Amino acid sequence: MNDVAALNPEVTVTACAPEALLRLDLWTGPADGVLPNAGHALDAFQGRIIGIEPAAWLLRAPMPQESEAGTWLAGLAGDHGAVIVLTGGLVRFRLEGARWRELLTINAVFDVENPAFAPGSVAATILNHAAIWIDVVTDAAADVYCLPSYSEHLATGWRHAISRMD
Amino acid sequence: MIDRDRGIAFTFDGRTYEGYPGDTLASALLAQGVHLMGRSFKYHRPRGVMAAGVEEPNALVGVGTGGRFEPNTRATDLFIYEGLKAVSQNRWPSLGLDIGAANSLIARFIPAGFYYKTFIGPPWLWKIYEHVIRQAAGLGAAPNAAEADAFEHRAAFCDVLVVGSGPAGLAAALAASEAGARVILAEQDIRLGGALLRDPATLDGLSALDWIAEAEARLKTLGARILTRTTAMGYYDHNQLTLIERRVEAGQTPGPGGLAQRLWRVRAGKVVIAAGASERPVLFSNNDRPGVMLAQAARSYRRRFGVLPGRRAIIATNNDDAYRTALDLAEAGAEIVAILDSRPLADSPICQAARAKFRAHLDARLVAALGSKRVNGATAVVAGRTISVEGDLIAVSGGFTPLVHLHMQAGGALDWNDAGGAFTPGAGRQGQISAGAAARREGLSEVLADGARAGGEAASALGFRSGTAREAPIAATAFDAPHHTLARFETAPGVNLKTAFVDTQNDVTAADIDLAWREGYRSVEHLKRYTTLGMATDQGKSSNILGLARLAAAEGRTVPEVGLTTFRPPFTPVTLGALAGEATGADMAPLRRTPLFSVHAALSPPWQPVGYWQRPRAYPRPGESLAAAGLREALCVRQSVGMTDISTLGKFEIVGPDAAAFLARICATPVAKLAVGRGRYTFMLREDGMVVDDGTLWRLDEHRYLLTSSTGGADRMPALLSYVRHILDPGLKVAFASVQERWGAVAVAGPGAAAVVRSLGLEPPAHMGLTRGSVDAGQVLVLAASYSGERAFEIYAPAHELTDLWRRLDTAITSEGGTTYGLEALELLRIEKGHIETGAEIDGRRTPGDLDLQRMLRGKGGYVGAPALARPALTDPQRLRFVGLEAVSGAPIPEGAMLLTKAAGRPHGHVTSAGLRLDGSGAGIALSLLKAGPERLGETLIAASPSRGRNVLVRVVSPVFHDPEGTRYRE
Repeated sequence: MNDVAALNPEVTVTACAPEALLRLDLWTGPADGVLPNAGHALDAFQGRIIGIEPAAWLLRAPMPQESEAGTWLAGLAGDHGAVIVLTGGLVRFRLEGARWRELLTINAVFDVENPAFAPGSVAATILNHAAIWIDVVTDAAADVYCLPSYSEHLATGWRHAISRMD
Repeated sequence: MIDRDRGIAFTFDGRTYEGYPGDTLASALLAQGVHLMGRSFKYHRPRGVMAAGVEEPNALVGVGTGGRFEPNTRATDLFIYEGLKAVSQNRWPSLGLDIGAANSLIARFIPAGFYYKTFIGPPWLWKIYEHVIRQAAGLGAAPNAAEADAFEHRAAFCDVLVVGSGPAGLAAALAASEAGARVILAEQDIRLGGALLRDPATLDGLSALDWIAEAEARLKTLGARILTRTTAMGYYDHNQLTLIERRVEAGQTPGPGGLAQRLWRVRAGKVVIAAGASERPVLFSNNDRPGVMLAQAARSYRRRFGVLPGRRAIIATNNDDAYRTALDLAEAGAEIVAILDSRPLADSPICQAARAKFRAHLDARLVAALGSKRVNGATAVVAGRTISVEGDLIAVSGGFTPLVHLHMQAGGALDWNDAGGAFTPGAGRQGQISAGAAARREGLSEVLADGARAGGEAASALGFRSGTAREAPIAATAFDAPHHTLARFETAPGVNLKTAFVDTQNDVTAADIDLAWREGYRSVEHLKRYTTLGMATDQGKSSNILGLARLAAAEGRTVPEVGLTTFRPPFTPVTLGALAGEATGADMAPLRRTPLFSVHAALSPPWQPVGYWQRPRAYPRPGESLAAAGLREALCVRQSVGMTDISTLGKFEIVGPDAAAFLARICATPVAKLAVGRGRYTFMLREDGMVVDDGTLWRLDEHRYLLTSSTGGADRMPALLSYVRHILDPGLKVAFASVQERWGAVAVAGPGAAAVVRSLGLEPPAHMGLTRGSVDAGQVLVLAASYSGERAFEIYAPAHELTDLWRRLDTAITSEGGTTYGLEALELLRIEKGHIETGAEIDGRRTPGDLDLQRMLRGKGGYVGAPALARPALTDPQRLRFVGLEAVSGAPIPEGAMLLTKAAGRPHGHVTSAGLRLDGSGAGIALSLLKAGPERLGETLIAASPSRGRNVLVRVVSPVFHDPEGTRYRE
């Protein structure tokens, strides 16, 4: 998949190595100030915590820290939530470059070019038939999460799209 | 607007010509004196170019070669490029000498709708009729080579979408952009400007071209997206429009990326339709001859393309605008032979100016064009007196029809303007705003003002306000006034209606319209279909109003009373490639890959599509058929051991203090007493009591469960789980997540399965037990569940570690004399064991009782679907119910066969899954659904499959053919 990376200097796509993924659900409201709202993301645990639903979050962390991350989330949950390990259940692609937003308009249905979709914003959408999350990391980079079964399909689509870019 | 410093060579019908950048094929051919460009559809009459834009009905060519060939391309909408190859259509052997022209000699026998009255019998002659009709039918030849280029779909969003970049569109785009709105401007031409490219003017002191350039630069500075060669194809609900962008011209080789066209899906806050208006032709005899042209088109050829379409021009009009054409052509050196104005009065300044220079007649109407392959004159009636004039160009203007297509596709209403003889946009259901000529505004100043108003209004409606309101540009042009159109649709006395063409592309004449009416086709919908009026590639842009007016006159009603047919996308023809985008060939649908896909692919198995997944059907050895491989693999599982990839199964993790209560809603089987470390078979119902899926439920620890389902259930079950979690019992302290792809899974089954598990350093759990462990430092979950009828284990590992596990298992399996197996063997094994399958026995219409699962239902109820099971109809013993079948003769039983009690009787059921005995006999067995099935054990039926031509005698038996006591699970 990594051969998607170097087709165009204005946008690169890199498949990231497997990482720890954990889901936190709370059934009595979010921990104030610690967790981002739904549709937003923050850096956490050398990774990222993403608000995927009003009362659910996805934590991405380096693989060796899966256990520690689980403990941290369990502490946040207390008696008011639960943690489910999803490691291996999503693939993360890093899109970088001036034209990453343009790349995500192809076979898409989401207004990724809207200036309001700024760093720290997250969207759940469909891209080329696959359900994805887009996490805007910086102005020049975004992460796209997808199910592993669709990852090769998306990578191929990006490869073709980048080759067609002016 | 033509760059004459650089020539472009192109061919038309094999002959090489030269044009210039900026030329269309039509303008380049006209410049070379080529006026004959096509042959008509039915009568093969010689045709030339009538228009200068996408409304062109006659000059249709095929362009390109091989997989890039595009038929029915309008020569007026094709910008030439080096090496362009164009061919005329619908003629043989050549355009100049076409045998099909003989059809004109028999025209009286082949009017519109003639085929409804001919070719009726005898039936055997249809073999000949059909061949001839197929050869004769259609315009253009479809390419039969594979598409050579790439197409792409893109999403775009904006606050204001402006369609059309004429003066109104540019003014609207500027006003909206200045107010701060995100704007997309779509223009189907190769450059911005619209009518400003045809009629000289100054705007804000600049020439029209300079003003256009400045406007474009300003829009780009404000962040507007400008798309040229982009046609708004369709307008759908919620302000979604599709645009087709041509990245290259038809037949042209694209750049390095190979992208030929792009389909944009645009969602707009507001849409401004500044698509302009289409000039109408006039009805007279032979009004289809080369040299008969729309008046504005003649002006375009002169002004924009530097081509005089004729040297001696006759102008026929019902409005002031055509006088402009007369003045323009005269300025370029043409002689204006006569102006024939059908109005009784025309004394506006432009009319006076023209009358001072040319012979102009009022109350004057054309009767006939003279000439064949080129006009050489005309006859007309002037105040009741017939005159003849000579000329090589007849420029006609029968009024203007606002292009309301997008407005109507968006659910708009229309108003009727009687003087103009045109429908105009009325109320817009989606708040769309029409501006400029599209809203029947006339005169440059009014058009600009209307555009600025529309753009400002669109932006304002979305909450945008500019600190400095954008004023419309100040226009200065020679004649800045309305057209004063006086529509008049009836033909002049003496017109031969059989050669007065209403729809030139489909050869529909005024006589055809009248004939249809006489024959009783008086609804506009019937008129359209019977005559094919407006059904050609131009979709009646220049003909519909003329046809409606003629129908209205016959009916004694007004045009609005007669009504219109439905406006549908696309606005202009679109290639299938653009609609398909990337979804062709191997990319038609996504391919979902299991973690082991590449491992399987290395063995080149035959694949089975399972939704978007691909799963191996079997792993045939060299020379082995699929059926033989499936049987071999199944026998190996029965006798030794086998392993198969089951990663696609649905898996859900459910956690929380109320997890058991939650699962008691989901599962129809008991849940509460399931011990930690144990599992059980379960199934799930819909609210109507029908079984929707089955699977297994495992208790991982006190408050943590794993629920499995079928592969299809992985996409279906989240809806049920969410329904219970958020609607039925929102107060439960429970969380759930799909872990379908977090865990990959391998099933190991057979008498040797336990030994294989031990060889990995794991302790095999008892049947329906689970254990956790690790293999080579990777964590695994082992679930003792069987679908094959043998002792079996499902080994779960994180998906990214599954390949390593598979290789370890492969080694272990091989040392035990086992094999990998695919779906063929899996089916044979589970059918012999009598296990039901989602999609076969579970068909969405079966209750637990139908499937013999009633003993497993939780007595206390409380699960989704429980109340519905009390309905009397669901306990009717005559329902289709699950039983087994064995072939009396041992022959294979056709899957899907109907079950009959006698030949040609009514079906009593059907075969859901067909298999073979794996005891060495290979006898045919099957699972089925049969009315009152369990009460009919021992009965003999006919399994009839007409599509396979097979009838097999079968006996109704228990569905469990293998190990009915279940002892082999526990060995």
